[in-house]
Amino acid sequence: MVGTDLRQQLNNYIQSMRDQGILDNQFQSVQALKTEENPHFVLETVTGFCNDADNGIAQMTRYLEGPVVDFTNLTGLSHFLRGSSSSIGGIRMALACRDLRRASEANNKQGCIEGMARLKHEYNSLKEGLNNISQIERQMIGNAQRGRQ
Amino acid sequence: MATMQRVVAAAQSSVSTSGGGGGGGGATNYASSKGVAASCASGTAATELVVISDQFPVGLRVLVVDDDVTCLRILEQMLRRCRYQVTTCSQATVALNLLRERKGCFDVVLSDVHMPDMDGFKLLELVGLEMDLPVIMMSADGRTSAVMRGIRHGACDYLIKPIREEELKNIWQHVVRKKWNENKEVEHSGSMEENDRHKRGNDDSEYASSANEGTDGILKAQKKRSNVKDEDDGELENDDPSTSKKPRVVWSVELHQQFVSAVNQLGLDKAVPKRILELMNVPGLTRENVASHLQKFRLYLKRLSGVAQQQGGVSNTMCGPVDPNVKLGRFDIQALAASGQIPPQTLAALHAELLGRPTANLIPGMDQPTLLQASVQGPKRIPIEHGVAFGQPLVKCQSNVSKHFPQSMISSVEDVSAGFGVWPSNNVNTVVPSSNLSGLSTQNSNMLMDILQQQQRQQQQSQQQSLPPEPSRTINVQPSCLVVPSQSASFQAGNSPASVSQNCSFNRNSVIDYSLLSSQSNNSLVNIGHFSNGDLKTTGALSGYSGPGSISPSVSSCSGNADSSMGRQVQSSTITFGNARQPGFVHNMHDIQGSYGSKTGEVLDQGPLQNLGFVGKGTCIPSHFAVDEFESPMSNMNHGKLFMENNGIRVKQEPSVGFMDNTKVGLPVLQQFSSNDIMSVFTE
Repeated sequence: MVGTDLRQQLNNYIQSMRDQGILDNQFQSVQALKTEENPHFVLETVTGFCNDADNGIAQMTRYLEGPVVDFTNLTGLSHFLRGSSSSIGGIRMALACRDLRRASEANNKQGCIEGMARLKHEYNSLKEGLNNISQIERQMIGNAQRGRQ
Repeated sequence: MATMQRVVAAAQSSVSTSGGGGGGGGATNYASSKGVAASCASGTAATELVVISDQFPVGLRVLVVDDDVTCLRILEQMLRRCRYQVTTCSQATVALNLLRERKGCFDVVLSDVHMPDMDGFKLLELVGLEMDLPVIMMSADGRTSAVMRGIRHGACDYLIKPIREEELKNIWQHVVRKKWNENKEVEHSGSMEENDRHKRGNDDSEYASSANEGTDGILKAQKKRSNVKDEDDGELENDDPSTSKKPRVVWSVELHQQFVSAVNQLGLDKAVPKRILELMNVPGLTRENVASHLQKFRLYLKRLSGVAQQQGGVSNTMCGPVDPNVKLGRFDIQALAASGQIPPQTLAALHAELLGRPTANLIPGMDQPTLLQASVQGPKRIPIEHGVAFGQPLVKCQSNVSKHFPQSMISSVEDVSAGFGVWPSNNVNTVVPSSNLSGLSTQNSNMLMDILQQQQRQQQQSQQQSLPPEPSRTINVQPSCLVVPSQSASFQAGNSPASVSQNCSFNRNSVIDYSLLSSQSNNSLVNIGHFSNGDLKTTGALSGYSGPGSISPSVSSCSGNADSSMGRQVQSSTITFGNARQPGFVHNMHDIQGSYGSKTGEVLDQGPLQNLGFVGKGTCIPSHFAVDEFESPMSNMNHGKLFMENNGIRVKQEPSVGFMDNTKVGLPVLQQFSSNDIMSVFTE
C-alpha cells in the first residue's frame, strides 16, 4: 500500500536522522501531536520553525559581521533558536546554539564565528532532513485526502 | 474532598462547568444564587462553583506565553491533548492585557523566560501581584542559576525546553496547591480571629488581624521569593492550620503610618527592624513583625522604581515614556503617575505588592473620557470633606491623570488625594471608585470595581441613575490613582504630601479595610469595619450615589453602621467576594463562608461583589475608600490585598456583558460605591 509504504519510508528516514543524532525523541513527540483534525500539524510546525531559523541565522550573521559585534542580541537570538530547535527535536542544532550562546555571553568573537559556522552546518543538515520529512508528509496527507474522496 | 471538589470546580473550564450548572455544593450558592454569572470573557466556564471532581483537571485553563511560535504551537497541541483549555500568546504585553481583561478566566500561566517585549520574570511578578495565578516558567536554559532565579521570582515551577507532554500533564497540581494553601490561610485566619480580637482590643483590628494572618500566610505561600524570608515571624504556617496560633499583626493604617514614619526617620537604608520597632513603640509588636513588613515594603519600593523604568515596555497605551530615572518618592511617583508614565497597573501592582498582594488590574474597558471627566472635575472636594489633606500633587495628578484613564485606575492606591479630587468631580454616582481607592490599595479598588460591576450588571436599570450613561465615566476615578502611591508618599516624609498622606492614611481605614474586605480573610472585613468608622462620614458624602440596586440600600444602612457590625459583615462579605467567581476563590469562599457565617456572604453575593475579582489585586480602590489612602491603606492593603488576591476576589468573573462592557459597567457601579455602599454590601 502506498500509504503504508510512505509511512514506512517516513519512519525509516526519521530513524536515520535520529541515528545521526540530528533528531532526537522530541520529534516523535511532535509527530504524535498530529491528529485527524489537524493533519498538517507537523508540516506547519516544521515550516514555521524553518522560517524562524532562516531569519534568525541571517540576523545573527549580521550581528556577528557588523563593525562591532552585537553580542547581546546574538546571545538572545542563539538562545531563542536553541529553544526552537530543541522543541522540534533538532538536538544537534540546539547544542550548537547553546555553544554559540556561551561564546557570545563571553564576548568571544572568535568563538562566535566558529560557533556560528557550526550552527549553520547543523541547521543545514536539520533543514534538509526536515524538508524531506515534510515532503513525505505532504504525500501522505495528499494520499489520505484522495483516499477519502 | 470538598475542598478538592471546589478547587476542581474552579479549575473546570466551560467544559466541566456545563455539568456543574448552577448547583454544585453550597459554595456555589453565592455565585449562582445572586445571578452572578461568572463567565469569562472567553465565554467558557462559568465560575460558579461546580463540583466536577471527576473531570478535573480537564478543562484547566492555561495561558501560554512564548515569543517562539514553534514552541507555542507544540505546547498548545500538547496541552490540548491533556484536555486543557489553551490560550496562546506570543507577546508578554498582550498576555498581560489578556489576563487583566479576563480575570478569572485562567487557572495557570506558562511563560517563557526570555521574551523581547518583557522579561518573563517581570510578567511572573505582575501576574503574581495582579492576578495571583500560578506561573510556570519555561526556558531552554537549564542551568541551575537560571532555575534558581525562576524560583526566586516566585515561579511555581520551571520547565526546561523541550517540554514533554508528561510534564504538562501535571501542571494542574500548581493550581490546586495554591488554592489549598490559600484556603488554609483563610481558615487559619478565621480561627485566629478570636485570639486576635483579644489581643487587639480594637474591633476593627481584630478582623484585620485575621485577615492579616491570612494575607501573610497567603503571601508566604504564594510568594516564594527568597527575599521574603522574614515573613515567617508571626505568620501562620500555610500548611499548618491547627498549630501556631500566634496572634497576627494587623498592619492597620495607623500602624503602617507609624512604621513609615519610623523608616523615614531612620532613613530607608538604615532602617533596621529593631530600630524601627523601638521608634514605633507599639506594644505587642515584635521585631519579626516589623522585619517582615519591612521586607514587603522594600519589595514594594523596589517594584515601584522598577516598574517605573519598565513602563516603556509595557503595553500600556496610556503611559507616557517612562523616565528611567524615576525616583521613589511621593512627588516623583505622583508626577510619574500624573504624566502617565507609570501605568496604573504598575502602580496598582506596586501597591498591591506592598499591601500584600492583589494588584487590581485596571479595568481595561474603562473609557478615557470618563476618566478624564473624573479627574478634571473638582478634585478637592472630597479630600476636604474627608479631612484628608491633599497637597499639591493631588491637583497635579488629576489633570495629568485624566489623560490616562487606566493609570488612574491603577494608581488609585497611589494617589489618594488624586482620587479624591476625581471623585467628587465626577458625578457622585459615577465617580470611579478608584479615585478613592487610590489611597486604599489596588485590592480595594478591585473589589469595588467588581462589586460595582456586579451590581451594575445586575441592576442596570436601577443603576442607571447612579451610573453614568457611559461606563467610561465611572472609570474616571482612576486618575487619582495614578498619583504617587501612598506608600511612597509616606515614605518621603516631611513633605506636605507625605504628611498629608499621613494624615490621610489614618483616615484611610476605610481604604484599607476595603482591601481587606476583598480578601478572604477576616481582615478585609475588619477593615471595612474600620473603614466605616472613620470613613462613614466621608463616605457618607459619597453615599449619595445610588448604587446598584442591591448596593444602594445598603449604602444608607452602612453609614450608620458601627464598625463592629461592619466588620462582622465585612468578614462575611469578604468571603463572598473571594468566592465570587474565581474558581479558586470560590473554593476559598466556601471555606470562609463556613467559618464566618453565611450571612454576609449573601450580601456579598450580589453581583458586584463578584466583580471584585475584576478589580484585581488592589488595582483600584473605590473612590470612597481612597479617601484615606496613602500610607495606611497601603499597609493594610498589603495585608488586605494579599488576602484579597488569594481569595480570588481579585479575579473578576466575567459577566456575560463582555469585557469591555463589564469594565465599564463595573466602574460605574464601583464608583457609586461609597464606603457606605461597600459597607452596606457587606452589611447587606
